[in-house]
Amino acid sequence: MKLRVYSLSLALALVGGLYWKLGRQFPAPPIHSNSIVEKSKENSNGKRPEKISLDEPDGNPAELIKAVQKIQILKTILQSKNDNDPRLDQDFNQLTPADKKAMEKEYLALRSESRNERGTIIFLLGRNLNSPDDFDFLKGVVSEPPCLSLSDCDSSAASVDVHTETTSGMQITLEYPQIVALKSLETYLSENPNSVAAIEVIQKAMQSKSLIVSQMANELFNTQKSRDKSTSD
Amino acid sequence: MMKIQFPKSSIKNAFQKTVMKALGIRFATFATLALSTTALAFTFDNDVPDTIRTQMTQDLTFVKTIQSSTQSDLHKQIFGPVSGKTYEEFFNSRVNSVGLNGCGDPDAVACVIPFDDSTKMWITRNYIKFSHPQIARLMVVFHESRHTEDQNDNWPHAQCPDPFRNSSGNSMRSIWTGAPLAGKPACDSTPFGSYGSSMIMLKNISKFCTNCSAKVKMDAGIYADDQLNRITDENAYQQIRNDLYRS
Repeated sequence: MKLRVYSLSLALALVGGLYWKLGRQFPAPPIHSNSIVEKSKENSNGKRPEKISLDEPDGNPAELIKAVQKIQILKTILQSKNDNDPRLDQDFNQLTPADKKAMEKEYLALRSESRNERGTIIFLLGRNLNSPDDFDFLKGVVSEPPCLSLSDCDSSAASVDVHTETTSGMQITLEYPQIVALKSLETYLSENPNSVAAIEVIQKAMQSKSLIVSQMANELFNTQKSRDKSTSD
Repeated sequence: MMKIQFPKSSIKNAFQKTVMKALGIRFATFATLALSTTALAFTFDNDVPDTIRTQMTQDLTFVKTIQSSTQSDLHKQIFGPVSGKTYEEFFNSRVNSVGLNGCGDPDAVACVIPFDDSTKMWITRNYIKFSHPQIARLMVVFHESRHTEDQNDNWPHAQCPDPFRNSSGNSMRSIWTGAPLAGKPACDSTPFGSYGSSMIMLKNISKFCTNCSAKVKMDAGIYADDQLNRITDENAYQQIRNDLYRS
């Protein structure tokens, strides 16, 4: 009896500690990304019964522990700035819902100017698209306002030197998370050509205020349309 | 109270050990830095912060590991095989030293000032401050290394045409000012210039690297495709298309 009480107390303490740790790891998202803080789910009747906050816990304790471990690995890789780390290809496959939620929170916690870090998370999530929530998250990503400069996404750059702009692929980096999202959808559609969810994200991206994002989305949409047309012919 | 007296020799030995350990650590640090710099065959100026040195060294060390079993014809002409050894020799034969400089632009990452010293590359603090993917940082560095070639007039850029449109027919504009890039010196009329060569390098990595992560290969493809828009001579453009984009 005493052992059972002890075990239960330990389990509750562990779970409580994990929730506390997750809460501290993921502060309130920056204003720049408010568009994807809350999301809603449609039920089968097309109604939106409730708004689900990303702060709601998900998954069992064992999954949460693994999610925390995964985030630690991710943070280590991001801090190293080594995009060729083999763990990117080995440790982030078959992500669980808890993993994805943790990674989405990490995305929101990052500064908007952390373009490569954010894009890396989208890259990893983009290889694990298998639920409506995944596409909802991408919709939020492609709907983000353009990042105006790498020093401060909310302010235009002081420089107007076109050589600097073009040499470093600046316009790609500024919209890197969104571009990676589109690339992920392109890959997804090559294997799932009839995915309505993927097309809806692309259509959202077509409305982006970022010229490069909307142009890429338009090209992707048109390519998909041509593919559909040739298939039906 | 029992008085413990240590033999003088043991105190002296302990002191000597501490001193030697401290010296050893300093020597090891110096040796590591010296070796890493020697392995890269160029030197960093004293004012280049450790953070930038470390990052640039790590980036170039990654490039040195690249492996592939093939390459495109244009890559063969410019660099040789797609391999770390190739890229190491290419860079080391062009850049003797790396210094810290603002490059006259608050958003620049790197530059070469040929009339000052064409064997020197200047790096800005944005190299680590800006969150570019790793392959994009390397693209800039190899783009600039091409500008060191005095024998090729440092591969000056061509004026972008008017009108200036990308492959989809959209007008190419500055992301900051929205002004058209037409007429600006931000294009190449040859596959062999700085935009062309760095683009060809990246596209080859994207297509043929056998030990690069999927992210590196994806990024190399994204940035290469973007840089292709800077090749504005029709013949040069088609040459690259035939070399790298035929399915």
